[in-house]
Amino acid sequence: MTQALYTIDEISARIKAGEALFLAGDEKRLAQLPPGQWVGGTIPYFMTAAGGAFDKEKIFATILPDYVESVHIKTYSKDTLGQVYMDAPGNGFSFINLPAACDTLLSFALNAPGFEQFAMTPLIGWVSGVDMTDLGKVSPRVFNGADASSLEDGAVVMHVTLPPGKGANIGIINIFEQGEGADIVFPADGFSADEVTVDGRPMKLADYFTENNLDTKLPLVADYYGAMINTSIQGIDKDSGQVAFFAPVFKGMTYRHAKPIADYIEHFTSQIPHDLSQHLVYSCNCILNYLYSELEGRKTGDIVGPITFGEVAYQLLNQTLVYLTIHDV
Amino acid sequence: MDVPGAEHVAWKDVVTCRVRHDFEFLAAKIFMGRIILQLQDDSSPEAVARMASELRELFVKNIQLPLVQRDVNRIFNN
Repeated sequence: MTQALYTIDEISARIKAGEALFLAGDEKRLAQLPPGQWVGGTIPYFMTAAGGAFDKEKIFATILPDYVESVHIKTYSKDTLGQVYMDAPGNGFSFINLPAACDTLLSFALNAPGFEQFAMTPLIGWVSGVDMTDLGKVSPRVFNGADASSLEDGAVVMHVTLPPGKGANIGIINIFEQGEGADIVFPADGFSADEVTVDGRPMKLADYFTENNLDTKLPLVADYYGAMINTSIQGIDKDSGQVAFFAPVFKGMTYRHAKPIADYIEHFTSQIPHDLSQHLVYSCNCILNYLYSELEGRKTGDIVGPITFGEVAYQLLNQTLVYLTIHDV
Repeated sequence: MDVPGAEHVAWKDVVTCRVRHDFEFLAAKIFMGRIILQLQDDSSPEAVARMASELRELFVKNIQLPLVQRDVNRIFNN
């Protein structure tokens, strides 16, 4: 695995040498890079080998293995992103960058499970963000390194072809699991909700949270056939009663409020597969885990990567670490 | 590794949750999450057959991965 913070000069040299890179960093730094085989997104938070870090000078790079057969970088709009799985290589994976809060991300979050060929090939990536002190003032961006262009609404994808004998796989580490509380079912897909059913009874979701004094730092968790998938809570509007989410909830899916976690690091490290580091190529973790669990200066085992405003493992996820491994097959 | 055809009853048993397996393959779990929701709206034999075929396609396209092979063995050797 080669994931670490580098100077602009170091990254520029690697780009000029023809290396294929996934990059994350401050907008001003990414904008200085030459064209080449790279994609990037804005964020100043990282998990490094030394621990959680904030850095606006260096760029976090994932250097793709030299056995990669070829890469193809493509920019998508909200209207064309439905093709992303169709464009994936026969053997390999696709890596996606989307800016937070843009229309393309909202569309992807709601519609990806209905895309043609959904999940048939590995799609991993992250949602770019900003310094938390710049929230609402600066727009997150993503970069298409092929022409060193950037955009604040759209998606940039690097489709990576692997040679015969290599296979890619996506995994997640989610420390949250469903708690012992009520089953919550939503009447419609969406990024916010008012009326829901709680253990089969109609109820305002905001009232359920208030009456049970539930911690909104803990996500709602759905059980996808054994995979725990989070939907993080953005906030509760006490006037309207609307509960807003960072990812959509889906009609008919059963959610529960997550079980409280005493110590993030302890839970996290206990879930790392024992042989992960041998095959790990890429990983990223969620800004909410970074902030709520106070990860700055703390280590999450050997797992490093950008800290993100959302994670993609086939579809949009929240409060989850996602990773890509490549195996001899 | 040969993957039995979509008409094999084991695929139908999986998508209808008549038989449940502890899959290792994340894509299969997420895909099953989508299938379960879709079959809540339409559980016709045609829909079940379509979902069984799509689930099989997911396994076929990723069959080179050892964990996918183990999941296929779970489906057919239980």
